[in-house]
Amino acid sequence: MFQKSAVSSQQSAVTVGDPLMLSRLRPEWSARVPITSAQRTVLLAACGVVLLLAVWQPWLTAKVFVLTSTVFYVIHAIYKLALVRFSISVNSELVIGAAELAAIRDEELPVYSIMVPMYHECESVKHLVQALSQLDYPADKLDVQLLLEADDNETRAAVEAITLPAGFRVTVIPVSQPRTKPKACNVGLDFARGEYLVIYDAEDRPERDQLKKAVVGFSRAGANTICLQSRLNFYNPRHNLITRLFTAEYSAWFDLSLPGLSAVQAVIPLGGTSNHFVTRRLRELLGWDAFNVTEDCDLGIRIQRAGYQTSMLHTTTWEEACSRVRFWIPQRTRWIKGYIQTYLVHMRHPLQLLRELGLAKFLHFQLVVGCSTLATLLNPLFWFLAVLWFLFRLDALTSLFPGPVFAMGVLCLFAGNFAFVYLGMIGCYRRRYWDLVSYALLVPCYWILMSYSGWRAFFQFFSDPFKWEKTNHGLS
Amino acid sequence: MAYPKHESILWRWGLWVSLTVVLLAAGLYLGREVGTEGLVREGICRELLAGYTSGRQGVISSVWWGPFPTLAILPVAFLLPAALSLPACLLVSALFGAATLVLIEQALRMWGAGRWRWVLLLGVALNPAFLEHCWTGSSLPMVTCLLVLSLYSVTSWVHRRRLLDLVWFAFGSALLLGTGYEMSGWVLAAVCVVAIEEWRRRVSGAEKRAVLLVALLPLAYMVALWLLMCWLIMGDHLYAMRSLMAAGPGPGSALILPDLIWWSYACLAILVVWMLVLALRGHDRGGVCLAVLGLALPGAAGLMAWREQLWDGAPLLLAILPAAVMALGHWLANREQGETANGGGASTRCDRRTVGVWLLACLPLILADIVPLALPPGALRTASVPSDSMQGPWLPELERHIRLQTPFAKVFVCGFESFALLQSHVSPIFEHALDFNFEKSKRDYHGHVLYILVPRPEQRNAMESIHWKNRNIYVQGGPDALYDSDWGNWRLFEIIQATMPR
Repeated sequence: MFQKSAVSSQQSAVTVGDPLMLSRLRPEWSARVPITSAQRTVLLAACGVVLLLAVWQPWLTAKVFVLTSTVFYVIHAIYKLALVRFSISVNSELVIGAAELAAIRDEELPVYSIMVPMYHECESVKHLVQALSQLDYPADKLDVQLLLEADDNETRAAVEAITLPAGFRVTVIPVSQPRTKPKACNVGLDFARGEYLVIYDAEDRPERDQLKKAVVGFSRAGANTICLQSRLNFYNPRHNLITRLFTAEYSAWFDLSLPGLSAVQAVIPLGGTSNHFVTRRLRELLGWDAFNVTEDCDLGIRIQRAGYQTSMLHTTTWEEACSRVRFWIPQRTRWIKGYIQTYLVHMRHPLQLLRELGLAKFLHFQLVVGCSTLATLLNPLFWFLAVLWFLFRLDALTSLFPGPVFAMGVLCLFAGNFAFVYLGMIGCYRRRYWDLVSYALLVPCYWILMSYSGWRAFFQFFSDPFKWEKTNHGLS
Repeated sequence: MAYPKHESILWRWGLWVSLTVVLLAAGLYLGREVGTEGLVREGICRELLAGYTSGRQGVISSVWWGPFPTLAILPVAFLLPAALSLPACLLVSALFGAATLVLIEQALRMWGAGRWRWVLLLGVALNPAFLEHCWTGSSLPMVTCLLVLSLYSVTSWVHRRRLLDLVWFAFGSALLLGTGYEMSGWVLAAVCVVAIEEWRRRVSGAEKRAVLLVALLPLAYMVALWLLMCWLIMGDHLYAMRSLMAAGPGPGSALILPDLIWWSYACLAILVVWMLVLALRGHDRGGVCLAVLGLALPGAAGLMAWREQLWDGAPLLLAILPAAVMALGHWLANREQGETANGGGASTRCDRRTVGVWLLACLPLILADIVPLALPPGALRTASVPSDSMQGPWLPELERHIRLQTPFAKVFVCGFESFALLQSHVSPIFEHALDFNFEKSKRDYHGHVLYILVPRPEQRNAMESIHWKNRNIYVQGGPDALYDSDWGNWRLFEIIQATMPR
């Protein structure tokens, strides 16, 4: 239970609420119980049936599995391409022009809360404070909270070593379980004074006019839009091969797929940072789920379930791309594990979800959150089958793919995979990363890492569901 | 050029669906039947869905039967309920035919051609040759659709440098190449135009490389995939192109076109040359690009005619009209905008000349389209194979002829048109043979009496593997093939086998 937070010398003590409020008041919305007993029963029963069938009719079971997977791949590929089509052609983002920004008077601007959860980020403190100080927003209307963990002495020392500008304060998060970013954000939410609120990571460098754009964006989007997601991209895209491929992926996701989702008003899994909220509405939604390791994705779904809307805002926050495989894999593991958590949380009562979202958004949820996770798990199996067939031309393998399934399989293998590579290229092109366009051709190597992380996430979900594998920054 | 920012998606989709319904209904009402090409492609789809090797071979084994039209028909053939008894190729042809018209309308509207666009659109829509192909399940509507898409997107790319236009061009040209060998020359010309356009721009080398990569990767991938598939399925990565390397002009493969049609195409080419001159004078880079690519069509056709690989009904020839219409529409749009900018004014001498050239081009074309309809069948020289021989009414008779000699017989029906021939008569003695091998067949059917049925080497049939692997087999037979009898446009040979030791 949370009573009071220890605060730094620059701030006085403040009473805070419960950072685990969501899991206590609405346990059905929280990943505190990663998988319910009903879900476990259904999953075990399904596994049992499949195993029985595999023993009784192994060949037929394999054929049905291949057929189902192939249909899934076709639908997934078509869906992703359709999203890109929507993102390119429809007004899928809130684009705020310079004239609109110039017309805003400072006194009309509301107080804006910025929350930056930090843990072992002493090397980022200086850059962060500098980046946030440069935001084009009146200092007296900024409410910046640096959320520091009580046992993170080095970051606290780094913060105390510099003089924080006006509008900055430190909120110290007492040590308690779970040790997650959303728990820290919930503490910060309780202290937030702004009409609007945004989350940044320690290494983020938002565009200077992002807050003003968000204010105009909220007023233009209407009362139902309570969240704006900015585009994310990297300031170190050319550091090494992994950052180049990461950039290609991010460019495709934030510049093509998410605007596509926004264009069709689908559920948008938020991107972890640079999410702008209407503070009052966020509190109504009980903040973030402290037990979910992709609390952003989960919140994106809950916003839609509550009948609100998320839109994409045409502005970029620059982050640091993880440049080492040994840190990249834990980060990706956490993301995929979080997607599994989110999927299972919201599928506890599928009919209720269907009623709340409506059929279209329900299907979007299945495709965006469920299918993308499933694809990373299934991919290695089908790559293995493809390699096996190319090398040995086994007749047994051929018979697993009867006519129509073979046609769909070939379509996915050759057209689907090519399309995904091409999307990476288009993403880089749109970002004007001309030199990275050719690197997008190597994205299939990156998929292997994703699938490895996917399986790691799958096992970790059962062994250590709340483990937060923190990404190390300041490596570039 | 005036590119409006917003366009109605509803209008575009509505027009597409309506035109498809109209085209399909008109074809069915007029009682048009599926042509040979439609039957062949439907047959390949059937075999492919049944999981037979012949189906897989049929998709990729010849540049004269490109994979894209078959693959476009495949999902429709799979999903279309059998109860409808509507051939999938008819629906696909109507869809692509309607898409061609919608794309032309969109291009002319976006360029600002005003009311003229409807007149120009009618010029294409009422062209009997175009309609005939839409009604008979031919791949021509796909070719024209992809050509128009590529032309429109490359011109728009030159005008406004929008990524979406570049992507459409990339996929349009790649799929166009996938329709077969005939469009390869034009695609090459289009690639050159984009490359030159990029080379002229004052931007960084990295940007130029990025543009070319985005524009050309689908094309390169299409070629690489085709080669890979040939290697996987045929065991020879260049198999699809062997007909180009091995065969000289076969008997009957030369161009046979009514003179009137020749003249109409020549006049259209003159029109496009005139458009090119006007675009060059007006420093209109989009117009130059459009006219050059328009000219590339008769250029490629001339090259193929020189190699005696062009014939009546070739998509390359029939695609000239939509290209010419687009060139004219582009010029009209430029002219209308010029007039608006100048506050109107009298028609210039240049305009009168253009209209004159346009009329000159149209007259023979209209005559060429109308005259064949007015004349009784067979009055014009044509290289088309009579449809009755394609439907194979003589197949039961052929089967009886063979069964009289032995109950253990196998007839290998060579070439792509076997898919059309055998669709009306199912019998275990007939087998498709796209890659016929004498020795292998003797080994596989040990103890059987074997025959091959060889199509007459004319038009696309002259490029079949049976002809380039066994020169003059149709006329002279071969060391393993003994003449038996003629059946329509097909010739039956008995395969000579060594006497089995007792």
